[in-house]
Amino acid sequence: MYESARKVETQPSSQQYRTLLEVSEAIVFNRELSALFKDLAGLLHRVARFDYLWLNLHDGAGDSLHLHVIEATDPATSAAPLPAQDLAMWVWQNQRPVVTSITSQAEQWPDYYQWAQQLGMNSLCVLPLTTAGRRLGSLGFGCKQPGAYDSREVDFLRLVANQVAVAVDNALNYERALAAQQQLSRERDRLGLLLEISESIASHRDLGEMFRDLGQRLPGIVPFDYINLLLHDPEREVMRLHFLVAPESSTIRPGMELPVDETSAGLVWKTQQPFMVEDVTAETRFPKLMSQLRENAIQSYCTVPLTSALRRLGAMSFGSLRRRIYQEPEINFMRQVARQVAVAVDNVLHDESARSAQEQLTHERDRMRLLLEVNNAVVSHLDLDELFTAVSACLRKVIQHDSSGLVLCDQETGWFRVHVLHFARNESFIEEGRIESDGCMKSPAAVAVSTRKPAVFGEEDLKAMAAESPCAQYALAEGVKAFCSVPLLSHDRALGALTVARCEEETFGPKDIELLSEVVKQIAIAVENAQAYREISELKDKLAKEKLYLEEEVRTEYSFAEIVGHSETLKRTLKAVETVAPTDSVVLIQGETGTGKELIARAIHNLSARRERTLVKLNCAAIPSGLLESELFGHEKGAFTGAIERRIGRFEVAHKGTLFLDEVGDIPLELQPKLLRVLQEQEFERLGSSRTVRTDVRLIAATNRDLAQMVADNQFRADLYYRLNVFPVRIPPLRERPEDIPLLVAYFVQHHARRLNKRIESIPEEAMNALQRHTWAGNVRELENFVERAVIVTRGTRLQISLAELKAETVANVSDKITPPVRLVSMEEMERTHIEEVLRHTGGQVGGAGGAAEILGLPVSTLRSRMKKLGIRFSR
Amino acid sequence: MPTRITHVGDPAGATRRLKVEGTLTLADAELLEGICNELCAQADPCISVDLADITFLDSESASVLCRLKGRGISLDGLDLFVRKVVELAEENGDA
Repeated sequence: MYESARKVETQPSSQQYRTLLEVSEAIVFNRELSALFKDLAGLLHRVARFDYLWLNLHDGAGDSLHLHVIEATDPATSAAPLPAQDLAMWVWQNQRPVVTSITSQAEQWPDYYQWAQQLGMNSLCVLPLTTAGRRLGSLGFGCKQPGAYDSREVDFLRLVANQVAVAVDNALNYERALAAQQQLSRERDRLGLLLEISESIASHRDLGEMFRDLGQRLPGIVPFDYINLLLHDPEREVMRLHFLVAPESSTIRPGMELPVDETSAGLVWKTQQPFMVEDVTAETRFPKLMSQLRENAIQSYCTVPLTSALRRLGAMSFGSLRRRIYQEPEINFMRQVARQVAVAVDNVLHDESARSAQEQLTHERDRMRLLLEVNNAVVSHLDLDELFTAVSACLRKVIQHDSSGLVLCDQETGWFRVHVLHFARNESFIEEGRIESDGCMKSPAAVAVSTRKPAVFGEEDLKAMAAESPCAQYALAEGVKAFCSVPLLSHDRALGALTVARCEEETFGPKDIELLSEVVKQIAIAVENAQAYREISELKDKLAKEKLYLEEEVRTEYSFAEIVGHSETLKRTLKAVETVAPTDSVVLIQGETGTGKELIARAIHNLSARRERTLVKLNCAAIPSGLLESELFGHEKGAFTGAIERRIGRFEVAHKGTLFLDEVGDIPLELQPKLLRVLQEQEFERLGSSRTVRTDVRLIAATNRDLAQMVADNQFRADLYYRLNVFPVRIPPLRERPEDIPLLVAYFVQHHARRLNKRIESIPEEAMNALQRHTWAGNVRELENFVERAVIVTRGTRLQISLAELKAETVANVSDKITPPVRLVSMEEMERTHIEEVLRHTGGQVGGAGGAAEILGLPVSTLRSRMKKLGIRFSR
Repeated sequence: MPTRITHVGDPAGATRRLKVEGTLTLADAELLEGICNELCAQADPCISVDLADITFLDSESASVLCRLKGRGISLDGLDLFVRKVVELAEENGDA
């Protein structure tokens, strides 16, 4: 049971009224509940007895009362435990005051009384705190003195409680208004920040800058030490960290990637729900991520989805070095921020995509333009050199480089040839080499040819090749630091390669290689066309030349198979011809003028495997020495003054056939090395051209001069002489085979008589004898001329020969032709010449019957010793 | 000039006449010999070979002509050179 306050009829004292007035004033001046309560306690002490004054307020939502403020006369008791609610709740529910002593009602409100007892209170007065509108709670007074509150005081305290109720109501309203105001302020700040973020997004085109700006603005609302942005990579199915704002010591870096299932960002990206870790140290999910967070001392961590209206982009995470720092408001706010950022990211990604598409379009346009230009160059240039110049001009427009080159291969020989055109000085450089089938190339320019794939080299690669590649040496000397070689392929055949080089460190990238690969497809067609054109052009020239030779052959009076004679001397020569003809050896025909050297050369050609091809002839003595080189090797247009067009030489015309060089002893010394190179290497260059022409020619040389002597006199190169003198064939002069003269005379008579439409049936025996006795210094040619004159003057069927003319010629021969011009020489030279002459006469036979030793009247050993001393080397 | 062998018609029909023109070498001479052999195989053969338009012949074909001559075939129109070559072949006994 409890003791209710008694109704007391007495009025408050004037002191109490004054206090009530002051209370009323205090209420007016104090909006804050604690301050109000403090003032109230001070005022009430003047008119009421109490040691403790406390206020229990109803929480509104739940059905409980909470101690709100407590005032005590003794400050040490202010930290007293929470008073039990049972008594306060009864007062609140019944709206009646309770005035009691501790001892009387201990059983009804035991907790309350226990609390009061602990504080030493013996009297309690708990009053309802109610305004006109609502029940607020209760106001309690406690006094250590028993029976401290009588009815009069209770009435007064009820008045006070009414005043306090108004004040508390005001204060609570004020607090609520203040809280609402603060909430509004926070909301305004957040909206303001969102607006700033929105403006920041609008003002930054660069995502990185925007994110850094974000990192500076956000901490005003949401505290964090780390904030990052992760985007989903659909191709690799990973979450990639793109942007990060973090302390410098952070080990987390942009570019880090984790599989979607191994990171909270992946989970958020998938579920579109925020993810929060209040205490990283205790978190067991996503161990890799948590380990990284722990490494960086991050205690709280939160991830929100980064999603625009169109697509899920990734996630935004933020972390703090403090534990349990993030609550729902922070997360909600960061979600809003993330939505804004998502728009920005989406914009940037679209922008990047658009820019990339534009770049690709520009690149494609440049590529198409280049290909068109190359194509135009291809169709308008059939000459390889002109074509390459045109193509390099196109290349310069789209690929930065300092020099470019063309490597061309000879499919038959496996040789490659490098042409380099240096733009800066317009210099050209040539390297030749063999394409190795194993791909182990000695030249950077030809690697692509061997591997059939584009090849890129840096400075170090060039240095590694420089020892064996002149091209690499040249490139390094020119300061080249990046080199690219792309194969020219046509019908699965490597025609060569296009090379480009830079003097800058920047290497050739995939885009450059892709573009070059497109260009070389066009160039390959062009090269093939140009090569075909060149081949056709050369064949045309060759055919034209061959036609000339064949027409000349047709005009020739005699068939070169018609070698007339039956002497043993001539038969020996013809035997040698039969022996050497089927071989491909060089033949040196030696014989006096008019002996028929050309006839023998033709016989060798006709008996060789080359008989189906042309025998090309050149009389070296008949061509001015200045023109001989051009005649032999050809020239390019503009090679020298008057070279108005390209012309192929005899060596090219005779390709696969035979070249007969008459009077080879008359070739100038300066031209002899080039001739020697053709004989040894089967290759040469036209005058004015750097392109090596390969040829397959059999050479037959002829001379009426003593080449050995010319070598001794330094008028002929020894190496060329040895190369020519592989198989010497000597044609005997007519004086050595007089028995052939009747047959020759008969042949010439018949030949010229038919030509002159005459009929000659006999030759006087006397005339024939005279002809046989004659020495014929001009040999067969002289005999033919003589017979032709005789046929012309002959009337009737009997050949008329002027014996007087024959005798006169014999005298003239003796004085003018047989006698060699006098040249004063040393005894040793005279001796050498004489021995050589005798050896020539004996066909190189030294000993035995008819040998040189017998003719010279010397023992064989003496002659050999003399020959050795004089340096005479003579073989059969 | 290439060799040309022509069968020339004889109005009387008593003699078979072959005309040879151009340059005569061994292969053509043997062809001529083959033709003569065929004609000989026919009844009552009387064959003559006209060599007036031969411009050149070598010793080997001259030997073939000697063989034909030895078989009674008449060689006509021999000029100075052809005659000389055939004589030399006969002297050497090449036939």
